[in-house]
Amino acid sequence: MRPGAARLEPWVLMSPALALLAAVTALPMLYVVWLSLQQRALFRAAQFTGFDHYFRLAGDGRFWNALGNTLYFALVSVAMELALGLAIALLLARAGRARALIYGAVLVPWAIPTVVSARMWEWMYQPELGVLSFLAGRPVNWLGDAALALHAAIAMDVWKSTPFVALLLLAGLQAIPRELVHAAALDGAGAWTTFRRVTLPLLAPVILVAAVFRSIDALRVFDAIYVLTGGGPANATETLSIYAYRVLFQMLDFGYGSALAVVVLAITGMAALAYARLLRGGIE
Amino acid sequence: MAAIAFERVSKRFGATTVAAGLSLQIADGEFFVFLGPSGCGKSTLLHLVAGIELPDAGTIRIGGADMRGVPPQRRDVAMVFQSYALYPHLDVFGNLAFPLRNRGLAGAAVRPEVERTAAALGLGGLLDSKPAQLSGGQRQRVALGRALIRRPVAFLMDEPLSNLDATLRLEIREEIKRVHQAHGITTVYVTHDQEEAMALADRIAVLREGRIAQCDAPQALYAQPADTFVARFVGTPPMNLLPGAMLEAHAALGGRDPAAVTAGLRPQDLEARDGGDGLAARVVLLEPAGPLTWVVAELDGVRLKARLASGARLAPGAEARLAFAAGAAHLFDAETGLRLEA
Repeated sequence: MRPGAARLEPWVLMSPALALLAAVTALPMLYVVWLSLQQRALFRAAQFTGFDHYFRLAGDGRFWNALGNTLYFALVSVAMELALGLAIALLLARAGRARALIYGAVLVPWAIPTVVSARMWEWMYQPELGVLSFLAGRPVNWLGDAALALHAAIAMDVWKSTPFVALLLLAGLQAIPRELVHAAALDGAGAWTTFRRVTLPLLAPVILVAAVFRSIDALRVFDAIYVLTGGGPANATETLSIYAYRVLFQMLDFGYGSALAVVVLAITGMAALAYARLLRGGIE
Repeated sequence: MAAIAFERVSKRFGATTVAAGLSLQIADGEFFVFLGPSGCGKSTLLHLVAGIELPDAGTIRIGGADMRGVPPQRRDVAMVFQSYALYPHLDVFGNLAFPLRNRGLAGAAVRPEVERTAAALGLGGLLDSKPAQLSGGQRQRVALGRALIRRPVAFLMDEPLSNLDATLRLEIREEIKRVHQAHGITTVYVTHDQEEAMALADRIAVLREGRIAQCDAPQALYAQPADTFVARFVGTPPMNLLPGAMLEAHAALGGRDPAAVTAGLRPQDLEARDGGDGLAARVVLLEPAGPLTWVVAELDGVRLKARLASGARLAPGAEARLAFAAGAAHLFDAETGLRLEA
C-alpha cells in the first residue's frame, strides 16, 4: 500500500463514527452558536444581531446570579463528593467478603433516576411531614429558605453522585500494586504517611478523572434542582441551565436562550480543557 | 544486625502449605537462601519475617525479640521485591530518601546520605530520573539502595533477579554479594534458581511442601543431598536417578538389596565413552555446552545425562559406555527417597 493510502485508511475506518458524532454533537452545537447571534422568537422573522446577546448578558443581574449559583453548586458538591467518595473507597478497599453486597448497596443512589430521587428528597425536605424536619426537631423550610435551598440541592447531589466517585476511586485504589504499600510499611511509613506520600499521589490521576466527570455534570446541573425547587425561592437556586431553559422554552426567546447555553458550554469546555492539561501533566 | 529465628511456624494459603511447623535459626550476618520450586510459597516466608503477613501458629524472632504484635514499620527489616516496588511518582532521589524521611531525618541530612548510597551503587547521575525512565538493572539497584540506605538489621530479598536478563542477573548478583560482604547485614533470600542460591548463600534451606528438605552449606547440599528431591533440585544438569538393579553389576551398592535402592549419579561424574567398561546405553542426542559436551543416553527406558569423554566419538544411535568412579554413586531408599549412607 502507498504511504498516503496508509495515512488515509484510519480516517476512512473512523468516518462512520465521526459522521455520527458530527450529526448529533457538532452540528447542534454550531447551530446553537449560530442561534445565539440572532434575534429569534416564535412567529417573528429572524434577524442577525451579532454579539448583542452577549453584551446583554453582561448587564443581566439574573445571569450573574445564575452563574454564581452554578459555580457555587459545582464547587461545593464536587469537593464534598470527592472527599466522601475517597473515604468510602478507602473503607470499601478493606471490606472483606461482604464486598459484593456493599458495592450493590453503595450504587443504589447512583442507579435511581435523578427525577425520582429528587422527588424523594423533596418529600424528605417537606417542612411539616419530612423526615429531616423531624430529625431537626422543628419544622424547617429547607427548600423555601433562600439561604438553605441551594445547600439542600447540594446535599441531594452529593448523596446521589458520591457512589459514582467512590467506585471510580475504588477501581483506582485496586490498581495500586499491593507491593508498593508493603514496601512503604517496610520503609517505616505509618498508615497516614503511606496514604499521603504513596496512595494519594498514585491515585491522583483517577481523582482528577472523577473531578472532571463530576464538575462537568455539576456545571450543567438541571434536573435535580428543577424538580426540587424549580430554581426558587426567588431564583436562589436558579442555575445557568435552568435560566437557559426558561428563556428558551418559557419565554421562547431562542436567541438569548442560546447565548446562555453557549456560556454553559464554554464554562464546561474550559473546565474540561483545564483538567485535560492537568491530567497530561500528571501522567508524564 | 540481628539473628532471625523461626519457631514452629505454620502458615497455610488455601491448598498451599507454606510452612508446617517450621523451625530455623538464621545467624547474625548470615546470607541465608530459601530455595524451592515456583509456587511453593517461599515469598510468604519473607512476608512473615517482614510482618506483612502473620503466621497461623508459631512465632518469629528478630534479634531475639518476639515479633508477635510488632508491625512491619517497627521490625527494622528492609525488603527487595521481585517487581522492585519502586514508588513510580518519586524520582530516584525520592525513592532513596523515603525510608530516611520516615525516620525523621531532616532535609539537610538526607541529601548526603542519598548521594553516598547512590554513588556506591553507580546511580550518581540518575537521581532526578523517575523509575519508568530506568532500565531493569538500574531499577534493581535503586531497590537495593532503598533497602540499604537506612542500615536495617536484616535484608529480605524476594527473587530480586528474576526479572532481569541473563547478563544483568550475573552483574546484580555480584552486586548483592558485594553489598553483603561490605555490610555484613543478615540477608534472607528467596529463589527458585539453585545456581543463584549456590553462588550467594552461606546456607541454603531447600523447601518442599512447607518443610525443610535439607538445610546446609551449598557444597554440602551438592555433595550429600539428603533425598532424591534435593538431589534433583540442586546441581545442573540434575542428577540422574536410576533403579539400583542397573548398578548391581558394578558393585556400587555396598551389599544392599538392589530393589530397595535408587542410585544417583551426577552427569558430571558420569563419563560417556565409545568403548570399555560401564553402563551400556544408547545415545539419544548431544548437547555441546562449550567446555564440554553433554550426552543424553537411554538405558532400559531411563534417560541419563553424562559428559562426553574427551576424544570419544559418539553420535545419536551409537552405543556408549557410561563410566563412573566407585564412590560417585549416591544411594537413596527407593521407597522414601532418603539418603542411604554408604
